[in-house]
Amino acid sequence: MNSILPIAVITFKEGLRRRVLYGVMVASLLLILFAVLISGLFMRDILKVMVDICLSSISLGGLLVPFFLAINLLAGDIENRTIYTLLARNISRSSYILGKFLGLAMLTGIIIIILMIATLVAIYCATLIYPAHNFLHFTLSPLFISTLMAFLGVLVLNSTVLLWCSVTTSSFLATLLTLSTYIIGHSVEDVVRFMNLKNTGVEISPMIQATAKAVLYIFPNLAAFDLKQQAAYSLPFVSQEITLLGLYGLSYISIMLFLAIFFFKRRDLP
Amino acid sequence: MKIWRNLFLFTGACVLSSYCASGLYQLHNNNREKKISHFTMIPEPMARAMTLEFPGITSDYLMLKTLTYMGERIMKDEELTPDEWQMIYQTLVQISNLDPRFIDPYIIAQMSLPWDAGMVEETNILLEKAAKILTNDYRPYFFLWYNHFKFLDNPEKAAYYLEKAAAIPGAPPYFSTLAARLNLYAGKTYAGVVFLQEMIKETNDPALLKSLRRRLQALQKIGFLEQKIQKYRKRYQVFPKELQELVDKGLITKIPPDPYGGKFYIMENGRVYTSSNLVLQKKGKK
Repeated sequence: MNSILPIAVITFKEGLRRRVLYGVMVASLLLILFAVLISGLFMRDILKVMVDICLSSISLGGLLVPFFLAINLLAGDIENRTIYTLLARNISRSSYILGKFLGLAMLTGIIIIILMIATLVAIYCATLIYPAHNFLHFTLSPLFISTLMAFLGVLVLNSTVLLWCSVTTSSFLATLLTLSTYIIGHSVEDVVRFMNLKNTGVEISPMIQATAKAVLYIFPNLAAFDLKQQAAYSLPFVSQEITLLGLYGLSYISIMLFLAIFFFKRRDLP
Repeated sequence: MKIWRNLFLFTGACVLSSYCASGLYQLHNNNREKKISHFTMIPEPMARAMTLEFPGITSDYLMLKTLTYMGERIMKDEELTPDEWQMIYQTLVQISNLDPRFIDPYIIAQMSLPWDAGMVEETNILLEKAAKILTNDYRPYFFLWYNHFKFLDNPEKAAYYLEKAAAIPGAPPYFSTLAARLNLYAGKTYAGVVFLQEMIKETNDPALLKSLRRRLQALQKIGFLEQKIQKYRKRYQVFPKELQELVDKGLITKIPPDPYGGKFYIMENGRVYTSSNLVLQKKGKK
């Protein structure tokens, strides 16, 4: 178990070696410019448009990790057979998975922090350019809470990447499964809600309804971690919702890591 | 030789690419499909699901497309067809589905749909939705007041909405007395001026400002003429038959021109109308 941290640090450094941070910094500069300029084209909700653009960029930046880095770092280890060097050093497979997760979490965290700083700079620049009445109701805490929840959402997706990489043999398949998880995770709640509407005028078979409900519990409800709209209008958060989200995120990550370790331990490495 | 050949090929490729880019732009400009986005035709739950975690930024994008579409036409002084208005309405509904708290679609709907497209009922549906969600904002009720007062000739319902708007913190203090000061026939022009002044405060879009200012100018002129007609009536116990009589009796120096290119005329009840019906007249048409 002591080897978790060194693996996390190696994963983190390997991610940095791929020039991720340079890319993120350039993206942040573009984000500041784009957000400040484009929001001026709107009529009233300048702040809302700015926060929308900035928080969407934070989410996109965070998603770079599960979609591009995590799969390359994990499936790449197996495909390039570098994993043997690690496992030969008396590092358990569970420590490898946990270390990888921690390293990816650190990478996600640093990307989100850089983009968050860019967001604050963009909002500061906007306050200098646009009339003050646009920023009267602006408070920082919803912005921070929303970003924190977006971070947790990306961590949940990272944990599913670990599971998919543990059960599949190709990085392509892992990417495909992660993409499916992401799309299902963001749309399943709306689909179930739509099915539960009695007056839709469409007959939905109970079988499909039950399947959709099962999918809601099996796949991560990523849409729940999306609190951008509350942040955009500086609406107060319900503490119960934040607590539930935190607990849900942590428990789901634990389940995914547990399953990833379970399958990875039983896996025959090529 | 090789360098020259490569340079020649490179220059040729650059010229060809520029020619194609410009040709494509022209082609798209001429045969542009009259659509803001196909996304507006998708039913609400599907649209929400399809935007994944980005409904906010999608609504911003659709709003920007709508503003550009309308702005381009207003700047060119072109009239939109009923189909185009319907499409704009659908887009605004979709934007409000994706982000119901976004005030811009409601404002742009109120600025344009009842006036230019006669879509009062449709606008009211959007505004009722806004009033339910934006409970701390007086504007949806204010807009509903105006639509019922000006377009639907329903002063009772209009007063109900104005009362609701006045009760919301942040509403201009004169709202509470506005209802009492207005009676349906005499007050329409004044209500229009008040409404447009509030709307002008709401926008910084140059194309929309141009349109709103023109409308305000027209209403102020109508208001000015109606005031002079009342003065004439007090003096001569009868309404003038033509506006020229106001000039002849020295009440005004000349009949002001209609900013929409029409001509002001007087009705039997002493109210002033314009042949343009507050719709911009095509150039050359009088």
